[in-house]
This record gives sequence, C-alpha cells and structure tokens, in this order.
Amino acid sequence: MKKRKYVIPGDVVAEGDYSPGPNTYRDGERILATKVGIAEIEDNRVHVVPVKGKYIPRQGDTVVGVIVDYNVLSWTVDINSIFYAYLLAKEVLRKGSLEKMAENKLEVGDAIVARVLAFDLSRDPLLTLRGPGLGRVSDGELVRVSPSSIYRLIDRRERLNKMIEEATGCKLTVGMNGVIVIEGSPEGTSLAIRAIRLVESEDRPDVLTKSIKSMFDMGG
Amino acid sequence: MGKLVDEQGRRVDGRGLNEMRPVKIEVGVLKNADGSAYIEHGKNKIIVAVYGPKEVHPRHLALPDRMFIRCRYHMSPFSVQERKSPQPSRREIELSKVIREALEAAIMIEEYPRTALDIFIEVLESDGGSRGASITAASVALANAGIPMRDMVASCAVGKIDGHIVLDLNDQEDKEGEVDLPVAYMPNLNRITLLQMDGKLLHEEFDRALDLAVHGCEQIYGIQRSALQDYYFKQDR
Amino acid sequence: MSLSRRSFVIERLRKERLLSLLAKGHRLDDRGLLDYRPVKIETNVIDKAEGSAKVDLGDTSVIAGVKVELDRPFKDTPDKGILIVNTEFLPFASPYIEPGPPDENAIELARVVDRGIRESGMVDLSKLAVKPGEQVYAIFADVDVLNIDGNLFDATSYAVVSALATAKIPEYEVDGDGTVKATGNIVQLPITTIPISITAAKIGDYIVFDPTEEEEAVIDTRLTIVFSEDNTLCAIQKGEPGSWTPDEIVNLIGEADGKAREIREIVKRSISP
Repeated sequence: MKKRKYVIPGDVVAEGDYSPGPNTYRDGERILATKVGIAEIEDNRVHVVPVKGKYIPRQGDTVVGVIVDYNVLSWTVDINSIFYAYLLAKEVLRKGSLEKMAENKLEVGDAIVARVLAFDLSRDPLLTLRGPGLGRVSDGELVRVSPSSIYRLIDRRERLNKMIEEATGCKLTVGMNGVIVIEGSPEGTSLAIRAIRLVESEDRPDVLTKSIKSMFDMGG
Repeated sequence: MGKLVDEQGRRVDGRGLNEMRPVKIEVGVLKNADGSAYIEHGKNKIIVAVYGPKEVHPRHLALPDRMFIRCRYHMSPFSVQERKSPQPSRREIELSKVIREALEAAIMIEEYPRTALDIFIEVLESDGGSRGASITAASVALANAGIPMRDMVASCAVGKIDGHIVLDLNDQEDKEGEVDLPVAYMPNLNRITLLQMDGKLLHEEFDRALDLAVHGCEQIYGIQRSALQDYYFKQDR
Repeated sequence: MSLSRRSFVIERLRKERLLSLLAKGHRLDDRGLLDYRPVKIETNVIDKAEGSAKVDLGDTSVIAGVKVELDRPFKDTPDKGILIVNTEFLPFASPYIEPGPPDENAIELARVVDRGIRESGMVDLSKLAVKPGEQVYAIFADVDVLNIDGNLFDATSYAVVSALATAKIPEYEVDGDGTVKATGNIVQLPITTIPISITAAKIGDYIVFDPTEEEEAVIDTRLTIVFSEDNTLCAIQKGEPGSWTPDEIVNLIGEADGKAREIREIVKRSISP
C-alpha cells in the first residue's frame, strides 16, 4: 500500500515504527521531511522524492559531462553535480594505439558520455570512458533537465525515452545527472526537446504518457 | 507616552497590538540561482538567492566534515531614506553573522561535506524587522534550492512601545520604541535559532514577549508554507 | 560576507571526557556547570587613558581603555554625548587569529557589549552635552583582546564597564560669550547602574556558564544576557548555529540573574576607590 503526500522541510511524514529513507530524518517518535517533495510511505519505510535537488553521483551511473580543465594526469569534468568529477588518463587511453590517442584527445569544452567509476562524499567522483557507448560526443545537442525527472524518462514500464526516439527518429543518450544528448535531424531534435521539457514539468505518470502521445500525434 | 499607541490600543499604522503587517512571499524569482525567494513584509522588500551545494572556491576553504556556508546581508544604497554607502557597515556584518547562524541551525550541513553554499540577501527597501524578513525569505529560498533542512526557519520581531508588548515593529516603532526583540524559530521542532534584544524588559515582560514572538513566527511559517505549496503543487492541479 | 566558523579540532578523546564529566556535573577544569572562572579586575592600569581596566577571566585576558574628547554630537541626538565601543583581537591573542581589520567576530563582540551598556543607561549621555547641538563628550572605549580562552563577551563587558566606572574626565563649562573651556576640575562620568553580562552555552543536553575556548569548540549554541541593576534585562544575543527551546531560555534567564548579582559584587569591589 503506497501513500503519497506533499511535504516541505520539517513536515511530519510519519509517526511511530517507521524507518526513515532518503530526504527524511528521525526526531524522537517522528519522521520529518528535509526537502520539498512528495512523501511516500510503503510498508514501514518512508522517503521523500524531492522536487528539486542536485545530482549526487552513484557508482555505475551513466553521466554526460563537459571538460572544464586538465592536467598531466587527468581531466576535470563538470557533471552538473555538487562536485567536479575526474577522468584519469588511464581511463581514456587504450593500450598500444597512439593514433587513437591523438584522435580521442579531449579538450576543454568537449562533451563526454562517461560512467561513474567510484564515488563517496569524502572523495571526488571518478569517471571512466572504457565501455560501450562511452566517449566523446561528436554530434548532437545537449539538453539539461532537473535530475529528478530523469527517472520518469527512463521508467521501465512507460519507456518514454524509447517512445521519443521512435517518434522523432533521434537517438537519446540519457545521463543520470540530468544531461541528455540528442542526435538526429533538426526538426526531430526540436520535437524531442519539447517532449523532454514536458517530462520535466509533469510528474503524474499516467497524465504524462498520455500528453506525450497526443503531442506526437499532433506534431510528429 | 501614548504617541505610538492610542487609547484604543491602535498603533500608528492602525494595527492592533498583536497584529502582524501584511506578508507576501514569492518563490523562485531568479532564474540563475539554485533557489530564490522574494518577500514583502510591511514595507520591507527583500530578495534572497541561494547557490549550492557546489564546489568550494578557493578550494582550501572546504570543510572536511560539513558544508561551508557563506551569508551576505546587504542593504542597497536606495533602501533607506538617506543614501547608504554600499560598503558593508558594522551592522550589516553582524547581521550577516547572526542570520547565517540562525539558518545553519536548520541546514543539514553534514550531508554535503566539502561543498559550499552561498546565501545572498539584498534589502531593496527597508522597514522595521528586515533581519527577520531576510531569514524568513532565505529559508524559503533554501527549500527552493533543495537544500536539506531539519525544519523551516520563520522569523519576526516583538517589541515594547509606549509600555505595551507588541508584535512586529515597523520602522517608526523600531526607532522610537523602547525594546526590539527579533526571534527566529523552527516551528516543528519548537526551537529558537536567533534571539537578540536591545532595550529594557522585566523578566515577566520578557516571558510574554517571547511567547508572542513564537506565535508570530508560527503565522509567518503558515505564509512560507502556502508560498511553497502554491509554487510547487498548485500549477494546473 | 559571513563564513562558517572554522574552529580548532578538539581531540575526540578529550571531547568524550568532557561529555562524560558534564554528565557527572563537572567540567575539564573541575568547575561546576554554572560556575565562573575567577574574575580578576584591575583598574587604572593605563595612566594616559582617562579610564582603563584589565580583566582576566581564567586565561581570557582583555584590556579596555577609555579616551574622552570633545566632539560635535550626532545629528539625531544633539543634546547627548557619544559612546563608542570598539574591539580588536590582537594578532597574538590566539594561534587562530589572522591579522587584519576587525572581522565579524570582533564586530559582533563590540556591538553586543555596546548594546548592553547603552541600553542599561549605565552612562547618562544626556549629562554629557557640554554645549547642546555643538560640543559634547565623545567617549571611546577601545578593547584589546590579549589572550583568548573563551567567553570574550563577558570579559570584554566587565572590562568596559570597569573602565567607564572609574574614568576621570576633565570638566568643561560654557563661557558667557559661548566658548567652551576647561574648568581645571577632574570629574567622574555620570554612572547610573552597573550592567552585568552573563554567557551560557549548551553542550549536548547540558548548560554551562562561562565556556572556555575548548568548550566553545564543541558547543551547540550560546546565549549572552545583560542584566541591569533595576531587575531588567537590557540586551540579549544568541550566538553560534544551534538552537534553544523557549522553555530553556526562560529557565536560563532565572539562573543567570542570580549569577549576575554575584558578579556585580565582584565588579563593584574592584571599582570602588
């Protein structure tokens, strides 16, 4: 049984024998919210889905970032988070391929699709480019949305990202940090951006899927 | 005596002794900031912007176990009758400090170690109680930025004018009254995060004044709540 | 811009011992929770100043000097003298002081001490207008912080109060033709009351008075209350992040009032001729 309600910081989400999940804390018998969002109570667990917040890296996440600095050993990458991420040289270069190295040379301003290799709050996030689909973005457009809306875009049941790809003929690379790479025709790209903005502004799943469908029926 | 409160218990602006000036809060008024709020409390017009959590620059300022908070309370030169120098005054430096401490009590600073949080408060027009209005608005801006907080922080002042304990002093009452006692309060935790006083009060008067201030903060909290609700949960719902 | 406080790191073991001692009603220096360290006040320590006092509160040490000049009155108070409190943390006062202009801590300290003295009406400024609207006494109370071991608010307040109470100033009079000239007499400042500042801090569930630097590194929050002799409170300042419940504050004021009476006796003894 899932119960939902809107909360602001300090609101009592539950009282008694519940365990506090993300964005909540315990104060004596009470569990209080720490952010504006939707509180969800499932069995005896309580958490708040925030309406807004910065991306907190998690190991294994795919992210889209922009190179902002470099030195001998690493690149500094802005991943739209509370910290810059670091990409060590060994996570970029492939063994025994000097030509490839020159080809893949990363410069300040380049966008990359990367995976989070390691992160905890006491250390800056580390990225890797080793893996399928990772590397420099050579084509397309970057769209930034609130990181909390990414989950709606890639929801397994609704598959909105696939729906947008099919309707617009574009390829979407979704970074969990709220940055999306769109590759496709100019018209397809504009349509995809409009659809993504809709996903960002509407958080009711049923209404969202319907509006996306009707949008493509009309425009695409 | 009797110049700030008349025989019927009316104040210079027509309010009763326990009556608050009109308060209006707007959320998310600045595009660039991570969170922002605008407040009109009486004639106070104050805008607050929050940036963060974010990288600390310069980096050596980062704290290993908690968030690093910077707070600036600043009055625009045109915010008062006689032009104020834009340089921060001693009063502004003290207020920046007590406001930061009043907010830091609510912020879960241990959740984002090694990061920075900037709170910028600009008083565009000032009236009595600008520090309280600043805290009230800053707390809303922090919620708007998604900064984790134990509770909202609501603030207002009480005071003593013509021998009466009253809620929410305006500019004239602040200047000509006997006592100013600003309070900031976390309503769900029943905790006071800012308390200052100048002027003379008997113990019994202080107890009554503190009680009235807490009630005032509860009213302010209601206004904070509806501002956030209107912004986030009312759009086409 | 106000920045988060960067306090020195207290060893975890020391902190744990402090907390376990508090539970038994003691502190690291063997004091009870509501005890003050010895308050030592020496007055007239600077001959060139019109009034001066050195205060040692345990290892916290400050010196206040009062200088008096004739000056034009402030526009909004033409018939009153001027009182200005200023503090400076000398660079050797602690290993954590950065030399430079007064920072927010020094400014807050000066303003809170000023507020307590001003609001108590300790110095009757209305008696300090030599020629109203034109010439008034300007009293500068400057404080040098010599050594920091916590509770600067109280130490600084006692020093300024003692220096003002013992200050001797030249007397002036207005001639028939309106010129201001010294009479040659030396007089006391018009003192009406002795305000006393009491500072409490909360560490976990415990409330202590007169915190040391080490205790201040672990306190949750702080409250300074200034008491006048006519049973009134005349200034309050909460400091540090952290919070108090309304009941804690009301109870604390009762306790602090008693302590203020004790300390007022010490101050009065030190300033009596």
